[in-house]
Amino acid sequence: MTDRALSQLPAAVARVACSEETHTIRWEAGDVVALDHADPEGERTLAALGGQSCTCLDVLGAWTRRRGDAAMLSALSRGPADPVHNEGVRPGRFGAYPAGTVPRNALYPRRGGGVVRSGAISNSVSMTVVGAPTGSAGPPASASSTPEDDIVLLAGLSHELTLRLASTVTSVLLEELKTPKGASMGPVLEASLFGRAWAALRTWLGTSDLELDLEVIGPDKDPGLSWDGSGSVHLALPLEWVMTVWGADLTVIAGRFSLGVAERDGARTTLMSIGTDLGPPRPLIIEIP
Amino acid sequence: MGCCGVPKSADPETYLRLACERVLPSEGRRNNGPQSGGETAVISRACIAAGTLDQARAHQVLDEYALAMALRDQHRGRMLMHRRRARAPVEGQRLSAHRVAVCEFHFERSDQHWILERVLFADDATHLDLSGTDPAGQMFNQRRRGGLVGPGPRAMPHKPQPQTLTVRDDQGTTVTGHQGTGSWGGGSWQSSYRTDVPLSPETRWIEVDGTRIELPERGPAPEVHLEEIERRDPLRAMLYGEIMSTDRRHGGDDTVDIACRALVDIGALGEDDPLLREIRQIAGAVAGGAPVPGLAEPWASLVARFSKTDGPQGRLAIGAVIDDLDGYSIRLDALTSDAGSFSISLAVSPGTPLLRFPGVDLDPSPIVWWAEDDRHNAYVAFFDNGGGSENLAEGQVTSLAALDPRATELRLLPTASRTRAVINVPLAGLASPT
Repeated sequence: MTDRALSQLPAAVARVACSEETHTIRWEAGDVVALDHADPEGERTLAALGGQSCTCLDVLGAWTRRRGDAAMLSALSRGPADPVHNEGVRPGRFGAYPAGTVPRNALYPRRGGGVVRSGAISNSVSMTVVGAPTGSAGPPASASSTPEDDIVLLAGLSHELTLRLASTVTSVLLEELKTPKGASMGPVLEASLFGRAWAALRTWLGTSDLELDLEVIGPDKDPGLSWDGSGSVHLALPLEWVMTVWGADLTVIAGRFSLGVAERDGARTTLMSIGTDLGPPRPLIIEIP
Repeated sequence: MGCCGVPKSADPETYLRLACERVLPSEGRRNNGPQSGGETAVISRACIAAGTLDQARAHQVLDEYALAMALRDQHRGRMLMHRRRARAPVEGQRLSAHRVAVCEFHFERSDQHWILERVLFADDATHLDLSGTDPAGQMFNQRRRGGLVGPGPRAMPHKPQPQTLTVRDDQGTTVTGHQGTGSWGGGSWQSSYRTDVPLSPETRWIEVDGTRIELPERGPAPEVHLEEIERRDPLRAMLYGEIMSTDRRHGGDDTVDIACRALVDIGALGEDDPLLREIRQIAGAVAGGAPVPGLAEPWASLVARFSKTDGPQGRLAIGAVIDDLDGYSIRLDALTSDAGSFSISLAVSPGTPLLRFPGVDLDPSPIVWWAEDDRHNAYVAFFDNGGGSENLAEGQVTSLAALDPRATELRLLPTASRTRAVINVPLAGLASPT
């Protein structure tokens, strides 16, 4: 179900500085692709053997390792009002203060300067990183890489692409939630839903100190939103909302807040949406002819 | 809605995560100040103490959000990441103090007026605390302050204190003292110096750059012994810890209220639980500084002196060392008393009990600085200033109330989770208030 849901989300791209050029990373149907590398798997093998890595390969490796990492949902942006700045953040270095000293400054060197390789540039899709199963370690991280380094790198990609990354992680965790050992994913997914819905509502309703009373409902229940203009907004949403609505950048369309996707049919998407008058939910149809 | 806007949730991890989500947005941080977010550490402590959330899981959640915070606010994020290191075991050192001399010896050096305030004879070095004023400056009469600060508006030239001193004892040993921490500004400076070789603790005098200074007669070091303390229920111990939290003392969040609300919200305690009533009564009395009928000990004795400003004045050498208080070596150097409070100058290794970051640290200080006198008064002191490294920190803790002027002995009671130390300090030598 979730693979199908991811395949219905639009592709997204991010531009990264790589090998002294601007390269493109693309997310599509849950997978991340490095468009400008002819043989990224071979390059990664060489890098693992001591050769030089580059940003695109770092992104591919990081994504493979973090595709099912709950910490991604904590780190990634909650939306346009929650900008993330990864420059200068080097978590691996937080443990590298001189022994016995108290840290006194905040800034650390920017990640990975000068890791450049020469190679063929291709405009064709040359490699797809297929999502590693949850719990898989993925390709080995570089010697200095930590899980936090991976997350920082991925969190700094374009806003649109990080929406899809959050969608994908959500889909992995929703699948895990269905397993006997997956109960621990519930709090992660609920907090992710709360943070993302709350951020969107604050912007949409123009109320920065808005209080949110979130009710997590099953995917078969009708979502809803009610507010009397003071006190808490009551919002009833399924955990899947992060994947199907928020991650597709459909949260607020034409000034209306999207409660869920009622139907997807090719180029036509029907949303259940609510206006700022907080009237009854009504369908909103997006169609690309 | 639960405490501080955190949505209620019966699941402790969800409750903690929602609290983290609440403090993450940038506009929330601007509204709530740099210490915003401290409630998440309090909530985690409450959930752990109630046995509803595994400590490792709670710390994992806080670490995740520390990284999230670092991606939105590097300064705050760095502080939060620091606590991860604070959890790592730190190798300490055994501190020593063969003799501590506190004095106020005034002398002239070059064109400055100097005051020698303390000499500590340790195993590996001799430490001197000095202050100085420029010729036109005011006499320096502030209590010594640790840490490094920049020059003030009436600043002396950059670093007016010397980098090294030549120090000699009556045994003929001559050594070099190197400057450690220090500060300057407003026409005066203070610095600590550490010699490269220890001087004799038996010496009757020392010479500092050629000026001979007679030291006070060496007195007996106070006896130190350890006592096991009664193990408290973890929940009660945590809530007592919140009452004694450095965060509260330094104007941060009301950690007691946050902890109590969290315990109610996750269903660990009922709103009318007797423990919550007791904790709120104690916290109210300590915060309000007024005795409350029925207040249990030691809280009643603690609060009794909050309103007094009749403390004796003066400074006494202590010179006691606690070798191992639940893993910490503590050197107690001197007691300074004034009308409103008293302070203990001390050093701790590892230094974590003195390196506190209100609103950031996951746990309260592992040591609570209790004391009591022979007039049945209780006192508690909080880290006031100082600094250092994870291996060794120096500074002072300052009491919330003044010493009773009729007291003749103070029992210092640094208290850790399993043990407390007892050090009897005679108070003869402090001047009664005029």
